[in-house]
This record gives sequence, C-alpha cells and structure tokens, in this order.
Amino acid sequence: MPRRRFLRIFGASTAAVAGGLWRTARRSAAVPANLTLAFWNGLTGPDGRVMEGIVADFMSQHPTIKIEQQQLPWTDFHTKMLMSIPAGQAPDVAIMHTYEKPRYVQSGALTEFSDADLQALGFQQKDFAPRAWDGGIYQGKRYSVPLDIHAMCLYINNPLFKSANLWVDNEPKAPRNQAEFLAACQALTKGDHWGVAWLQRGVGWAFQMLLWQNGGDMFDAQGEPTLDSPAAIEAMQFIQDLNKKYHVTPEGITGNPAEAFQTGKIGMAVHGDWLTPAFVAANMDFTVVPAPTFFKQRAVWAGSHQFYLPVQRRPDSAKREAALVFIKWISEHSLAWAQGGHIPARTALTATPGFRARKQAVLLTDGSYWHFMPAVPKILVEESLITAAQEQIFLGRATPKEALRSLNDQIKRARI
Amino acid sequence: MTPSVIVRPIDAVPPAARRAMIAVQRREAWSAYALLAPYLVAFLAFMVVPSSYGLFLSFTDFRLGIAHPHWTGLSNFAYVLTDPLFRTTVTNTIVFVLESTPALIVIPLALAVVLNQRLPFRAFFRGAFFLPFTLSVTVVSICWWWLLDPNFGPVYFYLKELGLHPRSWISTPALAMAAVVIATVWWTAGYNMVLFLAGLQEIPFHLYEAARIDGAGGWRQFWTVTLPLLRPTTLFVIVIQLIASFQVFGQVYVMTNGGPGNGTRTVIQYVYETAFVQLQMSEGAAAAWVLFVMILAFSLAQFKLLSGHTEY
Repeated sequence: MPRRRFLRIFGASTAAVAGGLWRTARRSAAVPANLTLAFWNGLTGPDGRVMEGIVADFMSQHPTIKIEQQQLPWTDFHTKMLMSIPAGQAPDVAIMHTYEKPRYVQSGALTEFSDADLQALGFQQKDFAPRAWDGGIYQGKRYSVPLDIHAMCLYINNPLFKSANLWVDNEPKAPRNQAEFLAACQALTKGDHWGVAWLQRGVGWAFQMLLWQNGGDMFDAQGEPTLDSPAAIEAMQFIQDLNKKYHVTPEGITGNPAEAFQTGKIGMAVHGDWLTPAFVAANMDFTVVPAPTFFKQRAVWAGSHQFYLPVQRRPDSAKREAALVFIKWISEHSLAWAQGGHIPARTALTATPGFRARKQAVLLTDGSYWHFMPAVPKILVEESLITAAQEQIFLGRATPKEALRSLNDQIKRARI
Repeated sequence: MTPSVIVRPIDAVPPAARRAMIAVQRREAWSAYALLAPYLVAFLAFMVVPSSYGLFLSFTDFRLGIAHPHWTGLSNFAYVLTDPLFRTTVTNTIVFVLESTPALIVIPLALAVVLNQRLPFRAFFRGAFFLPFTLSVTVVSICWWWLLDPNFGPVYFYLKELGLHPRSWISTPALAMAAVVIATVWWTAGYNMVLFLAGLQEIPFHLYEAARIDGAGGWRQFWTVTLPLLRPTTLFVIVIQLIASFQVFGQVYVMTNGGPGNGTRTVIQYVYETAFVQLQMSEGAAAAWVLFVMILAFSLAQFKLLSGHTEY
C-alpha cells in the first residue's frame, strides 16, 4: 500500500474511533428517560438465540429501555468481566452461574441485592426452586437472583435404540444404572456406531457427576481439592474403561459429542439439557431421560443461570431501577426461556402445561438430587485444567490415578 | 601507558564553524525526536509503563481488588519455576520455535528470490503472498481448523480419497502442533517475504553482473552473492521471527486450546490463564518476565552467532 494512502486510511480510522469515543461519552450524559443497559452473558449455544428473542420482546414493550446484549464464550466472558469492572466498564446486568461468585466477590466486583431490590423485583423464596434460590447467596450475602436450572441428562437416539432391540412398549429402555448403561452401550456398538462418547471438551461436568454419585467431592470444607481420592480415581477409571476395556466409545478425542450424537454416530450422550433445542431444530427423533446413577448414590450435575448487578464506577440509580425492571420481566417470562432447554427457576412456571410439554420436563423429578458446582475460589483452577487432565488419560499418557494426582497437586499449589 | 584521548572530528574545526555545526546537529536531533515522538509516546504508554508495572507486580502478592499489594520477593518466580505445567509449556514453546522458525526463514526467502525476478504478474503474486498477514489470527485459525477438521475438512477428505487414513490431528499432540505450525507459516510467511524483498533490492546489481562474467550460474550467484549480502536482513528476520514464535498464542488458543492433554499449551497461554483465568495476577506477571528473559537470551545468542560486517 502506498504510504500516503496508508496514512490517509490510518488518519481516517483514528478520527472515526475518536469520534466514536466522543459520541459515547456524550450519550452517557444524555437524558435519563431513554436509557441503554449493557447486558452481558456467555449464552453462545442455541439458548443464546432464545435470549435474543426474549430481549427483543422486552424492548418492544419497554420503548424507553434499550438493551445492548453481548454474548461470548464463558471463559472469555469471565476474563472480560473481571477486567472491565475495575476499569469502570462494567455491564449493567450480567448472567452467570452460581459457583463463580468467589472470584468476583474477592475482587469486589459485585453489588448486593438489598431487601428493597428484592421487593422491587417481587421475588420471594417460596416462588423459586430452593437450590436455585439458595445459590444466589455467598457468605451470607445475596449477590444474584435465579433465572433457571439446567441439569445433566441422558440423550437417547430412538432409531438406534430400536435397531439395537432396546425398545419396549413404544419407548426406549432407558438405562438407570451402570450395568444397564454398559449393556445398552454394548448393544449399540456396531461397526462405525458407538454406544456413547464421553464429554471431552468442556470442563468435565460428567466426571464431576460420577464423582458425586460415587460419594466423593471436588473440594473439602477448607476449599482444598480432593480430586485424588479413591472415589475420584474410580470414577475416572470408569470413563477410561468405556474406551479401553469395553470399547464402546470412539477411539481418541472426539471433539464434540453433541455433534456425534446429532449425526447418529453414538446412541447415547450424557450431557446438559441445553443441547435439546439443537437436536429439536435438527428434526432428530430422540428422547430425554434423567441421567443414570452410575455408582452408589443418586446425584445429578446441575447449575443455575443467575442475574448479577456488577459494581459500577458511577452508580446510576435510574439504570439500576431499569435493570431490576428487566430482570423481573425476564423472570416472569421465563417460560419462553425453557425453549433454550432449561428449567425455569420459578416453580409456578414448571407446573404449566407449556413447560410440561417440553422434553426436559422429565428432569424435574431429579429436583432433590441436583448438585451444583461448589462456590470455592479454586474451582476456577480446576475448570481451566480438568480438560487437559482427562485428555492425558485418553491419550494414554497418564493413568487416571497419575492424571488426577497431578491435577490435584496443581490446584493445591495455586494461591487463590 | 598514556591514557588515550578520543578526538572527535568536531574538536578539529574552528569555533565559529563548530557552533554552526552544533546548531545544525541540534536541529536535526530535534526533528528526529519530533518524528519519533508519536511512536515513542505509544511505546512508553503501552509497552514500557505496563511492562515495568508488571515487573513490579511480579514481586508482590497483587490480586484484583487489592489496593496495596505486599512485597513478596522472589516467591512468584519460585512458584512459576517449580510448576510442572510451566515447564511443559516452555518445552512446547521451544518445539514450536524450532519447527516454525526455519520454515519462516526458508520459505519467505525462496518466495522473495523468485518474486525478485522479472516475472509476469509479479505484483499480484507479491500481494497474494502478503495478503494472509493482514487477516486476524482468529480468522486464520478458524479457517485452518475447518480445513483440517478430521470429519468435515477437505484435507482429510482428500487424504482418505487417496487411500490414506491419517490419525486425527486433534487427538495426536505432535500433529496438533504441526497443524498450528502450518497455519502460522501460511499466515506470516508473507511478512518475512517483504523484508527479504527489501533486502534483495539493496544488493548492488553490478555484483551479479560481475559474478555472471566470472561464469557463475543461478545457484552459484545465490550462494556467493545473494546469501552473504543478505546477512543483515537474515539476521534481522531471524531475530524478530524468534521473538514472534516465542510469543505464539492466538493460533494455539483457537485451534487446540492447548490440547490435546497440554500437548500444545505454550508459555503465553500459561501467562494468560494464570493471570486472567485463574486470577493469579502476580504469578502470571512473573511468568511473563521469565519468558522475556528467555527471549532476550535467545536474541543475544543470535546476534553473537550471526552478526559481523557485511563486505561489499
């Protein structure tokens, strides 16, 4: 590019950026009647599109409140959030889970919901699923209010179950324990088709569920990791055995089990209910059932999306009020949110025929077994390292015991 | 032995002329500073100040939301240097440097030599090879990820058509690293090519004429004229390439996210995740400075090995 043209383009873009900055600076000082709320979340799956629709409906009914939504993958989302809040660039409303609170509270990034706020929202404990309601509280303070619950389940490919003779009385013979699960896997594994693909990219939620079912936990009461316990090793050994001993999962790291399930390569998937809309959109013939109990006790991995109000450099009461209006409206309309595969946190909504008609409605029976990820500071280290530890095992570079021991050491030595 | 006195040329001229010369020199110096100023301001604000602050933080227990961090001496450096994961990332980074740097010297040099000839559509090819460099790392990585996808990508499709059944690069650490290297070479080779082209155009044409008269053919001219005279450019390209390769991050983060099983996790990813995902800010800063010292050592070694005067 000739230098002069480069300079011209460079100059023009600098002026454009400066102009943009000047305009935003002016806009934030503008009239309070029409205001804009920045709304950030990590809903990048099919549920993200459902949220877009809900936000559009909200704006059409509230012409004075404009919502600017930003969606980015959870890992990048948290980095951006944690850097933006101290820089005075915090969003007005955010959706996160329950277990991330320690990292935000430690850095003083969250505002509390006062009793007055809860009153403005009209939120009362009795209206919400207990686990979701309690998940908003950390160290005795309420930092978030619930939107939904999302739980792990078992996805069944109906045609593959039929051809494997796993079909009785017009419904799939859903495995409920380890033995039945293995038998189903073996019946489904034929040639290029497999029983299951284990969740390998992601944060190891399925492994966590097995750990809880086996009576173990990820952290002790002091928040130190206990991932090298016999219960954890046994759970991880089971995942490895699916491949190395029973040969019911594809070889190597398959990348995306959701894709493998959707293309009919695997007969079952142990995954989150949020994949439901993708499979529905693909016109799949499938069934959702509660996740099996692989070990000695029932426990189901679950989480909850919650609304947060981050700390603002210049607190603006009009914006906060508008944010509460927004949260209240979405919560009241969260039956629409169930299209995203989730379970509304409002118990009145889960009793409606509209929700009962959804595939994930069968998961409500698990309510008392829902197990959330613990809100301890070191969980973020666990999250960032568990995938690599699992992959080491799948690559045959480490035994479950070795991989879990080094993962545990790694989390233990972290200084947070 | 008498102490030697350095006699500058300016000391040898009469005072009036000397004053005039000093004035001219000063004016030139000021205009040089004025021209450098915009870059210098950006360099100070976005490089020197933050990295010095990072150096300070690496000796403290700084965390987000802590206003007054405490001095902790070398504890963060001890944490990083005794971390087995850090050692893994150093090894992976060195593997990447050793795999990518030679390719990013040889291929751009070959392209530059070819495109320095009088060829039809020369400007088009120069532009075409440089073009990938103008893309963002995310775009490049996602394109290559799709191209190389073992299930849907064309590369695996045609390899299978040829009767080959290559292992999935996503689940083979060495192949995953190779995939990252291929994407990087495609992305950045054009930039080094431009540097080599500039170097080639500085070589006086009469040297080639002389070589031809002495009966040197194409290869011979390349080895005895081009390569020796390109030495300053080559040194420059090797050093900046080495520095760039040591800082590999975006391609790995998008294509493999450090996997499989930490097989492609590099030092910058370690720095990023320690500081910004695990929120161990001061440990991350320490790791970044360890990387800086490594790069500095490698660059100095390169200068020592390759520098020297170029004789025309």
